[in-house]
Amino acid sequence: MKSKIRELRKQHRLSQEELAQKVGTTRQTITSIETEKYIASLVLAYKIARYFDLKIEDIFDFSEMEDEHGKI
Amino acid sequence: MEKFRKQLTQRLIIHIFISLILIIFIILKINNILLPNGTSTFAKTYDIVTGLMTTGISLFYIRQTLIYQKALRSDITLKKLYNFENDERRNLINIKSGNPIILICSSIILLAAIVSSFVNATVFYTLISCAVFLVIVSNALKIYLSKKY
Repeated sequence: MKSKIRELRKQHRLSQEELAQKVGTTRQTITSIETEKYIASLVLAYKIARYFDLKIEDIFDFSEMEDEHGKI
Repeated sequence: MEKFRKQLTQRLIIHIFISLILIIFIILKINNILLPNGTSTFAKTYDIVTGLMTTGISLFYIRQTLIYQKALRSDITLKKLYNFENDERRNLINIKSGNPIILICSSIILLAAIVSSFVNATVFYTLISCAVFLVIVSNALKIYLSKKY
């Protein structure tokens, strides 16, 4: 799943390690989410969104799951 | 975090206790006081397995003890350890690679192998191979899944 974590991290001048510490996970997990290898759980997605003061859907791209009418 | 600190302190005490018991066991075994040579029909292999097991387990516990002591001294290291232990990706990889069930099973099989060494060599070698195979499969899966996720 595509996400804007890398862009947001760069905007906030945060390293992967620092972001991982803030949201209570490891650097490897942040790397995997950024490289689209791993889909974050709802709790982790919420923590990341909360940290950047955004909504989950503003960070994670759910368009792959939606049909042409925008429904899942 | 305070709850985790308490938990870690408890774990540390248990680890030190187990490490001490294992070290005492190794010293007694080296000095031929406990389970003297020739107790088992296959004394040599039995000694190798018990030696490897006790040394391996005690080294693991000593390593863990050092990690916990370091974490208890600094808040940053404690938070890092907490994040590492509760990391969802790591937990997923562990579950998919069969941990900790495979480790428990292989430990039980190893113990059974030691007991069987008093009776039959074939059973002993089969059980040891089985335990080693289980650990290899689990670790191979862990490496594969770490690359996948």
